[in-house]
Amino acid sequence: MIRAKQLTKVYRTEEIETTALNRLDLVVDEGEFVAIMGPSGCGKSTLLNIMGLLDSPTDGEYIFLNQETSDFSERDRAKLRMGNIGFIFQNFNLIDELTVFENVELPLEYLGMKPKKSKEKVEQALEHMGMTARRNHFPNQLSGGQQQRAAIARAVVTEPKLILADEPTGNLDSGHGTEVMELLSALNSRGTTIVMVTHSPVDAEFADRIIHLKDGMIAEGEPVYQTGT
Amino acid sequence: MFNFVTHKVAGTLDRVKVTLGIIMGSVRVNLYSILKIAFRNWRKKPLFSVINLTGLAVGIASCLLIGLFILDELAYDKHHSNEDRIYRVTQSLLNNGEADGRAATTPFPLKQTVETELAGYVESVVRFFDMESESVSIKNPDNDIIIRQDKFFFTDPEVFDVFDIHLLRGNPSQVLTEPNSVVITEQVASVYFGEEDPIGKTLHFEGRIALTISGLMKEWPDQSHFKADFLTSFETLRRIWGNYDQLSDRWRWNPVWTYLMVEPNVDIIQLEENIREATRPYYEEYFTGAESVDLALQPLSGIWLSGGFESEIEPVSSELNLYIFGIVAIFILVLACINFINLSTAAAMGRSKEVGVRKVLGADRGELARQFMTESLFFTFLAFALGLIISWLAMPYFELFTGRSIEPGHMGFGDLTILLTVFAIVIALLAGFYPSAVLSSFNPIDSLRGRHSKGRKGANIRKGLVLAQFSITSVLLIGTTLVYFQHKHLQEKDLGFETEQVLAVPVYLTSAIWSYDELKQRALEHSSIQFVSGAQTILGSSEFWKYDLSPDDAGADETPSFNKLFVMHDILEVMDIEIVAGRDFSREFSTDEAQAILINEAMVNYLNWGNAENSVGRTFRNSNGGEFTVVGVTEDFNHTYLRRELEPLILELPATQNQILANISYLLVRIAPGNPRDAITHLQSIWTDLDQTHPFDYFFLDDRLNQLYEPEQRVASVMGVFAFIAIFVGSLGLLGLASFSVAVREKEVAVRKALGLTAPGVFYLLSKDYVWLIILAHVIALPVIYIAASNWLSDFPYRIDLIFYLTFTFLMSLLLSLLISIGTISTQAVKAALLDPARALKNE
Repeated sequence: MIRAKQLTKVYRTEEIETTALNRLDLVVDEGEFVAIMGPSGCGKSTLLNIMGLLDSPTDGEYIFLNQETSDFSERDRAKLRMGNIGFIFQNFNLIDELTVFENVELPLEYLGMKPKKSKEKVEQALEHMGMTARRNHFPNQLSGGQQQRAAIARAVVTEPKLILADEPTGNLDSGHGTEVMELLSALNSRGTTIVMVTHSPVDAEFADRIIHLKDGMIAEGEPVYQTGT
Repeated sequence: MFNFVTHKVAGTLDRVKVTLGIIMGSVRVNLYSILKIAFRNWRKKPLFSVINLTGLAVGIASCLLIGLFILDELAYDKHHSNEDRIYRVTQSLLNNGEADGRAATTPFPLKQTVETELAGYVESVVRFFDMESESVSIKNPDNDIIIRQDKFFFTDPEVFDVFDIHLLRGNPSQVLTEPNSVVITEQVASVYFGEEDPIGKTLHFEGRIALTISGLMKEWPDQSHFKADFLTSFETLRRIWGNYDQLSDRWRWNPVWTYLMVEPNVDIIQLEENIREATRPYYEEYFTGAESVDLALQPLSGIWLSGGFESEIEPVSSELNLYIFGIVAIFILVLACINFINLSTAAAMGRSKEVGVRKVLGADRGELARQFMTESLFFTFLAFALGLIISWLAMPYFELFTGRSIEPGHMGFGDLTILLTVFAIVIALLAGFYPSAVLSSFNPIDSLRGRHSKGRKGANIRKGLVLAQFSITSVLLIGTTLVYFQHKHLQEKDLGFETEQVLAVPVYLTSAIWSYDELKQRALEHSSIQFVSGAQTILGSSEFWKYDLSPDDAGADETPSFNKLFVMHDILEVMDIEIVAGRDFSREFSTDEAQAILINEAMVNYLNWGNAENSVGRTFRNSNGGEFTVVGVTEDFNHTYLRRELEPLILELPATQNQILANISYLLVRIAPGNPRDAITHLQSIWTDLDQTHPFDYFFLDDRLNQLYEPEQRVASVMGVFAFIAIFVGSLGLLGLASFSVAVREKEVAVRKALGLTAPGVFYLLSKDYVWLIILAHVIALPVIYIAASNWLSDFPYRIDLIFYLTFTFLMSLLLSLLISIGTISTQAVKAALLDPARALKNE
């Protein structure tokens, strides 16, 4: 599903040049649950942004669903992202002015789905996440755990092939954290590929494979590609 | 270099693509969703939203009002179906080839000459004549209703072919063929005859001529450069004036307004030349030596905005006003749009997370730009609707200020709707383009990390826009104040004669003037009346007459002409004008009434006669060979209005009763200070004894002179109102920005306060940028104002000292802007000063 070859990302300002990813090679197969760990500033988030087609590499290849995307325009990346990739963030990133229902419905609107069908899908996703009762609440009326469940509902409502999660439990207490990890696990068991960035060894335990990043590279001794689980 | 160019081109193409995408792209997110989130965002920041909406609505309302006013101005005389073929002939008297002004009037016989000699070029010629009288008395003999009418014209029967005059009764080809027939308006008919059918009924002209009503016309539209209430023929005039044929054959006298309807596709420049050629021999009989006449054609639709020539039928407007109003409208609109842009982009920073999320979920830039553009459009339409309501409510006041009734009706509802819609869309695009371009450009990764939320992005652009706002408001403020001072200067200028306590009674064509001596004698019997005299026109008005008069030292081939006024004895007493040498007219000298004249000091200087004493005893000779001796020299006074320089002047007494009748138009009465009622009642009772044909009428000289400057006063007050609105709109924007900047700098203020910053320090921190912007804006405005003001003032012979007043108004505007801005910012700075640093830092 994902194949990164010699992936390099360099940030340049007027005076400093920072290498966030340094000729990184990585393969993620369909149905895998991969956790990426590493110290702050090691390039985890940059890697996740490139995998999520939110950013493009400075050098190297990034192949997603058999398409080489490194020279895609913003528009092409948005097109490929839509419906194929779901995002889960540490700070949930729900739109404050929209209700839970409307937040979850948003990606379906961009997919151009008919309202009737999209309502069904949203109801399904909310039910799945146990959020039906909170469908008309605004984000600031919810607990952190509820917000994250709404965010997961939004990520899965389009039934994406890949879910990228950036510290999904970072802002939650351990009880809610575990709840979220179990939801992700369940999604994975139904075939969704998950790549998660985390600081938490406990969360990482839910993954099939853990990749350690250091200075923009996969730490020595880590397998680039592992067949089977 | 090549890379740079291709990069630029690609960037531009990208922007064009995004723009096209905004307009043409499909919107996947439905309108309801867009408006829902927009509304929730506005609700979250009510102050911001109200400021934004109000500012834009007020701006739009101002623009609409001014726009309607301009459209109204441009609509003048366009209702005539042959409007593009109608021209007015204007005449200029040239002295050694140099014109001294241009008159809207021409001689009587011009019509016949044009008709016979230019038949192939000109279809019809129509003249209007008002007997050179301010008004004529018209009476219904059946019910004794008698009214002075000032819209009574003698005209040619072709008037109905040339002009679109809506006849309700009567056949246009017949109504004026019979002598002593008259066409009146509905309004006039209802005044004289009430509900009765006026056709066939009689009205008495000046108490002696019976006119039969042959037709009924609708009121002339408001957008006409003049309006007629009565139309009768020159055949009627022939029966009123025994010497009509002699008078109407004169080329020296130009009392009629002449309009031509030219044949289609006639070359106007050529026609003008042909008319000059055709009339030259006639004019040359009367104008010899250095004098000659120049005729010109003025398109009918151009008359209203021409600023006016001498002897206009009614005062006209000027193109300059249109430009002034247009610029003011654009200024206010720009101010309102800048507010919208500034407040929207400032507020947009709070929505960067939304942009990030939407991009992550699949929205591309064009889609987001469309979303925000749609919001802008909706918001603008909302402001537009509010603006329509505001302008509808403000219309009566606007009409009051402009002194006009504005009628958008003639445009047609459809046209108006299209125009308004286009206007709204243009504003939406103007105001919405930048905010949507900025918002949609956010990088999703940065947005989701909150890197835009500090709102620093675009801060410089916002400052630039605020600078533009301050520059515009200071231009308006300084400009308006200068106009006000110039106007005040004209009003307060000492004209050199008394304007208060002087009552004027129009006497031209009345029976009362026949008994001038009795009238005067009986008037003086009352203690409230101090002096009585008469004059050809009121002093200080726009009217003046030039006569050929050669001073004794003029060469034989010179035919100079000078302004001369016929006046009665005691004019200097009534007007409180001093004699500086010689004596006033006196009844003790029987020769005064045929041979004496007074001149002013300006004449002494003009003729280089040394001093006033030496000028007494000098003589002038008129074209008939009559000789006049200067018996006295008066101090200078402005006998014409202040748009003209003070000119040399001759005062002369009418020698005969006929000269009195022909030349004395006003009785001038100096009344004692106090209640003028007694004097007026006294005069009225004498009048009623002497004249049963004309109702008693009067006005105060100072009132009439003030009216002369009314058009300028109106422009000044309208400008003042809009300058105030501009400042209001600008202040609203500043309030919004200040509240935004307080919110953005909350943490900075908190940290500084924690480190020891005091409350005044907070205030300084938040206002210092704006203080510099205001000063800079004034520096930018200064040269603009200087150039515009010196141009404008150059038209006035009497003008304010520009440097002094500019310095004064500049400082005043600077101070006022600083006060208003600092006041506005203070409301927000207080919030920041009272901020609890611990809480602010914790929130971070």
